[in-house]
Amino acid sequence: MFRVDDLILSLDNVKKYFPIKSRFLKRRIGWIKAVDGISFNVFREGVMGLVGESGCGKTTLAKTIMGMHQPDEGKVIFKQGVISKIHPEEARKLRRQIQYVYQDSGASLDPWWTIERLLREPLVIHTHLSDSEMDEKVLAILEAVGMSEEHLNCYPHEFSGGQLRRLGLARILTLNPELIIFDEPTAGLDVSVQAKILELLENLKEAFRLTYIIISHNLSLIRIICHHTAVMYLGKIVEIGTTQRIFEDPKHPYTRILIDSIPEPGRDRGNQRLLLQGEPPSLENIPPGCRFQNRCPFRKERCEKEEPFLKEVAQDHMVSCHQWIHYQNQAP
Amino acid sequence: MRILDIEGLTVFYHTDQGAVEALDEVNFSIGKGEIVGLVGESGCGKSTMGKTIARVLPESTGEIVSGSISFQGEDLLKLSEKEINARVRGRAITIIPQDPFVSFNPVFTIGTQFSDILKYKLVAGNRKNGGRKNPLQKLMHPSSKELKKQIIQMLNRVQIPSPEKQMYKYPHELSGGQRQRVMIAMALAPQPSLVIADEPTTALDVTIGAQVLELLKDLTKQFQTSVLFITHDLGVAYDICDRITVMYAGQIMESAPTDSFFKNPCHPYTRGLLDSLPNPQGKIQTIQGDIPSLINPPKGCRFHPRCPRRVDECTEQRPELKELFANHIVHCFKPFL
Amino acid sequence: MWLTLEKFLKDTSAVIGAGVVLMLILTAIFAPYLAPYPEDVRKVHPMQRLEPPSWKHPFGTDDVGRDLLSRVIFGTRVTIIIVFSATSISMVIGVLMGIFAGYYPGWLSMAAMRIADIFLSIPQIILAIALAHALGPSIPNLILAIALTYWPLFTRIVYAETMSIKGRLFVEATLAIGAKNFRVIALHAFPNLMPSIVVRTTIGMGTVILVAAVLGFLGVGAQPPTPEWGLMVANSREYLPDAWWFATFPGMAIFVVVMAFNMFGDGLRDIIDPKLRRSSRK
Repeated sequence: MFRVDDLILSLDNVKKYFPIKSRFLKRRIGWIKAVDGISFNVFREGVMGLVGESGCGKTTLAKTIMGMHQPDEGKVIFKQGVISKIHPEEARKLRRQIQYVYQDSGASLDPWWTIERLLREPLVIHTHLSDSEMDEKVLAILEAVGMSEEHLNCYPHEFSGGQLRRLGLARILTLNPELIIFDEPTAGLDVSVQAKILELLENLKEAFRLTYIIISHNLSLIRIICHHTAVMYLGKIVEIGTTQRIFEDPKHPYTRILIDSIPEPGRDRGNQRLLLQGEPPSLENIPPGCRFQNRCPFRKERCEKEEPFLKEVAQDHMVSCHQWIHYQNQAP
Repeated sequence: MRILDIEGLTVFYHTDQGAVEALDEVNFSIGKGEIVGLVGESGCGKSTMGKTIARVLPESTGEIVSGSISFQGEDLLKLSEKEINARVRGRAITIIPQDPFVSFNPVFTIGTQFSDILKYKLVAGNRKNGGRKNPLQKLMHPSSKELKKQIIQMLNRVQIPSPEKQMYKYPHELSGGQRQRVMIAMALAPQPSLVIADEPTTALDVTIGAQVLELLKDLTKQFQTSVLFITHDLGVAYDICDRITVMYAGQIMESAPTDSFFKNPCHPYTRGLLDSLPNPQGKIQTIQGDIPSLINPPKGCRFHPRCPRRVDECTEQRPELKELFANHIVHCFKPFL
Repeated sequence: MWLTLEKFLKDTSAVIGAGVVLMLILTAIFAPYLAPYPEDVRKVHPMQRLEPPSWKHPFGTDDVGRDLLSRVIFGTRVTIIIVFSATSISMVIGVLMGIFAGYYPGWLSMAAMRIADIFLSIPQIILAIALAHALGPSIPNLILAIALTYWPLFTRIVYAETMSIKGRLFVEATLAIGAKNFRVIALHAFPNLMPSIVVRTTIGMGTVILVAAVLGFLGVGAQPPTPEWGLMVANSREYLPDAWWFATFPGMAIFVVVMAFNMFGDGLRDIIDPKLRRSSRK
């Protein structure tokens, strides 16, 4: 379905560590390995989902792609050019093309500015359009997200959550980006509003030929809208492939548990679901071997010593686990 | 046997722009040992319900206009604040809040906060009003050793590992899931008749939330404690509730046992809600229109401006109760059958 | 805009404060027309000295026979000049340092804050006295001395606020769309700092007046024959308690104006909050 030369973004073993400093002397006593060797490809006009819970590193990864963090190792390649360790001025110009939509759209807008000024700002920064040209563009974008001219004179606090999401999106769209990274686009929204936002995202993608990376812990959302999905745990990808394959035939225990944890009306309530026990180890103290071992129902000796890496188990489907083949269809 | 019976409850919030009619003649009940889900979107009034029952509405703006809340034979609305505080709140009715982080005092360890509850709520109350037969009654003059033992026991029940160590930790040192578990322990310690859980898993990760739900379900079933489970997430409600009640704009739309609710949704709003849930097969379906302002809410059934099945009567009077099948009730003139 | 005004008008003390401040400014502007004996700023009438309040001289006369009412009225000019200049200077210094220190953390910023701390560790009045004395008694030096003692208060507040604003999501978001730091500071951080700055300024004005009066009283500020209120109170000391009017009226003027600035400042603080800004739509 997607051709290789349609690659818009490529991550190659990207790592981002944060130093832990001791309290007194500020010496580095360890690393928080927030992103520890992530590689994947995103195709033009595709939708890539990044799934994981808090602390798995998805936000850090997103910011690294954006250029807000510099990776400590590895490369980020955007449209065939390496963008990971470039000069800040060039990085700033790049911001036109890769944009990031915050989870809390309301907080991402300056409360003292009117919507009109906020929407114009990206244009003012990056372009030399005339006033009337900017007005036109702003109006067009506003309508594209389903808002109207009368909203221009208002302030952010006058809008509801759903409307703020749209405005946050509008602001970013004024620059005609090619790739948009969404951080939890529907978190905190009511179900009916969520549905509307999803609709909007689909429409915008069609209209502007956008590529999306969607970060979410909401698996139902990912399932609907993403073509590919990568499941992250503690800084690494544990499973990655087309969304269909991942949901129909999850191989990694964590993925299976995640999918089982989604409360789904209609599912037979009687049967036992796989439930996760315990808590993830802290990022400062990652044990040797597989990172998931202390919570994995299928753990064996090998898992405690040797760290698994991503292997292709089917077409367009990779898993990082020693035991997947043994416990495919079993409950613990 | 019903432990909570609400009739004709109307609650307003007074604001600069006018009176927000948050609840409109609500009738609602909970049986003993039942986990009832109160489901709806933001602004539908579910949190207001919880707050009204616990009588924690904001004083300056909240007004209970009419209605009665019958609990264990008394009308809670007729009791004074002092009586509610002494006998009901934190004893017979406890609350599990949404965000456990904010609900803990950050400068005290969880052990201290827990023992406060045990000391003041359990002991004082039992002494005065002959309370309920509580095995903790021997904590009349609790020694700190006794208290510590009780706390460890309760922390064990909510599956906190090494409770002897954890009780000396501060709230920010625990994870979200652990905090919520401690909250559950604190809410269940007085052996209440009713626990009001206000979106207890919303702030948690999916897998942790699932664990917490299981725990809550187990513990409350064990002691036959009734639960009012407030949530906007139908999936979560499906998992834990025996019965589900849907609210919209301050009115109850439909109430049914969980299975019946999902198999045969009768109210157009319920149908719309269930249809807009993400499902892998179909397209995403939305309900057209927006939630109305509650300052001048629509007359009659408040859903009528958005309802595809609206008839004239809907705009004039509130639809009365219809019991369609066993225990499955609906407030609608034209429900699906 | 109008809704904000409405809310302000509901606050009685703020309105009174604002009213008095307005009166102060108007009096200063129209002093020559309001004062019954404008020439008394300089001219002396030793024959009329220390006359009690009468229809001719509602506030009485001072030790060299000058009409006190006129001098108090002209004193508003002195007060206004001192207050607004000193506050402006200290505001400019303080805010610039605060923003810089808050936005670009590092050893330079630490150094700046330590300097501010040094200034703050000495009680303001004592420092002002020392500076005024060192610079020489005159009004410009008075203004400078006060400004130099007041700027650290601005810096402290602006520093903390800038750091907090810098951490807010909209700053990060604006940087994410490619804005340069300067743009963020000037157009985004600064407006968000405004509430604190305005409040600090208006409250500060009350203090500045007091300090100026004290310095005048001590003789290291305004010099005779300038009609500065503090100076008048100083001169009145030896004639107390008989010539009570000489001390009372200038003293009352000080009191009223300081209170007014404080009340006004409080009122401003209550209404300045971006959430109260409303668009003109219904």
